[in-house]
Amino acid sequence: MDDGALQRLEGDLRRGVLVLAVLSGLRTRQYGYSLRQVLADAGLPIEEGTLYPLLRRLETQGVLESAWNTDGASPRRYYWLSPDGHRLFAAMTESWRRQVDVLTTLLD
Amino acid sequence: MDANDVIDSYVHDVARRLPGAKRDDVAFELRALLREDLRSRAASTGRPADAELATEMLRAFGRPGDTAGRYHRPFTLIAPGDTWSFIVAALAGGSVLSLLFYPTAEQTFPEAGTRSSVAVLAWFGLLLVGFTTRSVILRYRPDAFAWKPRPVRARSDRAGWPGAVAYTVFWLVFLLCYLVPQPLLTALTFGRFRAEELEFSGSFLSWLRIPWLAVMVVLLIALHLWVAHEGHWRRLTRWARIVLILEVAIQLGWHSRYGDVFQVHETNRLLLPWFAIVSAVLVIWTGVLAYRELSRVDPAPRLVAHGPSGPNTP
Repeated sequence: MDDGALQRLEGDLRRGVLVLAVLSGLRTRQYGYSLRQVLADAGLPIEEGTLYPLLRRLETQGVLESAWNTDGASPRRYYWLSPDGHRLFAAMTESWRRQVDVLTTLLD
Repeated sequence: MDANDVIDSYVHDVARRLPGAKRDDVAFELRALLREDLRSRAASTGRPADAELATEMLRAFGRPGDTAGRYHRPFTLIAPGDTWSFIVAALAGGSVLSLLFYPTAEQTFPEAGTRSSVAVLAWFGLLLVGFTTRSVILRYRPDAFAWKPRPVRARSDRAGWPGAVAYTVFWLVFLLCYLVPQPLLTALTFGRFRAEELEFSGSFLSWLRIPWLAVMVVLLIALHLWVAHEGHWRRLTRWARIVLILEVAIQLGWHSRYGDVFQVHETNRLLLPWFAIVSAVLVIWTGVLAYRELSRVDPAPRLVAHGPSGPNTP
């Protein structure tokens, strides 16, 4: 198998956990760039072109809430989990842990 | 252009593809984020935050159309799953209409070409409207046009002698009608009707015109007999049949369009349109055969040989 195939498969894996990672990062208020930094520092770099639209889509689905902060030199739109988002995050975390257990069993 | 102009240009190209309700807000946020990304990229690479770096960053971000598609599911005129059906319908309908509106010998090029082109373009337009309507319905009602099971017609590749003989007789009669229409008619009417009007013109009897269709028909007959001997059709012989029938159709269409076939002008006027009709029927026949061949499904495993390191089967 070549490196390109490995990278594509790793990309697929990362895309699968992307929403959960974003929800985890938004338990505290973040704007697009800062969230990207938080995730990158944690070892999950996400392309800007993927993350920024995703925030909008999650907000449209009622998972996130947002507000503009125009006080600073650079205006920023902050996002955080809505009540529905908190419930979804808890459910997805539970589901993720179950899947990790299953995969750990399979991989051992 | 400076870096901000480059970013503004990109943001504009993304935002204009979005619905009006979210366009301005997304543009405002995207612009702020991209400016921040550019500053960060400049700091991390040690390069100036200029137009060149901004262009490089935005190209990595994605084409504006793709980025807009991530913000808002793009509308497609033809759903990706319908592309094959659209191509088949466009080609089949376009071919039939081209034949129906095929210019006669008396029609001059601009008029005849315009009629044919308008008919084909109108068909493409109708298809586009139909498929777009379907795409719109599917966008708002994804459960519409649900798949329904239907019986699949079993196709057999077996070839027996009765079929081969029937085809041979059919093509022999065709060949006789083509090569010797006058003696054939005289014989069929027991000499009562000599039909001198059916005598071929000198140009048609030249080696450039009359023999080629006969050669194709002979090859077709030989093919049917060979396949009967083999006992079944293969992919190669199926395609050979399609190509040969198409070649017969092309020859007939060519005879109907260019030059006299019979010595008598009135006979040409009466019979050459029938050459064209038979040619059109044969083209449609080959179209159906080719479609069946291209859409043919023969469920079968694709066996791959494994070496010594291949997987072990239980």
